[in-house]
Amino acid sequence: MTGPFEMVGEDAPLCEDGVCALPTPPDDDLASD
Amino acid sequence: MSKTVKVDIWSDIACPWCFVGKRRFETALEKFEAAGGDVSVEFHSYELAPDTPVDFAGSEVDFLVSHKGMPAEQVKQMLGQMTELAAAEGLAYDFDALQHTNTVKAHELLHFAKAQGRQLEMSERLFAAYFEEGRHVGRIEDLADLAEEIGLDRAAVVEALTQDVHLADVEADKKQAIAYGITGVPFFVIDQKFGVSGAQDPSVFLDVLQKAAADV
Repeated sequence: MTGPFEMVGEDAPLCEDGVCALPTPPDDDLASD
Repeated sequence: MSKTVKVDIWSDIACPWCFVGKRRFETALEKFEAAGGDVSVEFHSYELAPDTPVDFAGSEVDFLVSHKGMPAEQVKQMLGQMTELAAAEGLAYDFDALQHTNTVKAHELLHFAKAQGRQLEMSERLFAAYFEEGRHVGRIEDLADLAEEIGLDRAAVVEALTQDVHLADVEADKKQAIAYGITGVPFFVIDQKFGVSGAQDPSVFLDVLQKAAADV
C-alpha cells in the first residue's frame, strides 16, 4: 500500500478516513476446532 | 548496536488504535533499548476527520452514528470491544466521557512541543487526556492547560496556537503522508526504509527495529 517502503507485518487494526477497524472478537481463533 | 534507528509515526489524537499502537510500539522499544538499541522517535500529523467541529455537540456514539451512518447498537458494541482491547494494553478508555473534537490544534501543539524537545511527553499527555480523562483537546485554552502540565510555557502555547504558527507543519506532515500513500493510522516509518501499518503486535515492531539496526 505504501510504495517507498518495504512493508513489515500482517494486516493490523487501524483507523482510516475517520473510521476505525472493528476489533476482532478475541475468542474466534480459540473456539475453532 | 550503536546505530540510532529513526522512527517516524503518523497518527491522530482521535484514533483509538494509535494510542494502542503507541503502547505496543513502546513495549517493543523497551526491549530493544534494554538490549542496547538506540531509537529516535518523531510524531507526525494525520487528521482522520478534519471536518469535525471543535465543539462537536454529542458523544462519540452520536458522532459515529451521525457521520458514518452506523447503527447506535453496533457503535456501542464496537466501543465496548475497543475499551477491552485498550485495557489489555493498560489503557483505561472512557468513551462516555470522551469529548469528540477537531484535532488540528492538538497537532499544532505537538509541533510546538517538538520544537521544545518535548513532543513525546506531549503526545502521551494528549492521548491520555482524550481517551482516558474526557479532557477537551480541540480548544486552545484546554490545550494550553495540558501543555502546562508537562512543563511547557502556557502563554507561549496560547500565542503559537492562536497565530497558527505550526499549521504549516501540520499541513506538511499531511502532504508527506499522501506522498507516501498512507491511508490509515497509526503508520510507522523506520529509517525511511520499512513501513509498519496499524497497531501491530510488539514482536513485529521489535523485529523491524532489530532489522533496521542491523541494516547499515
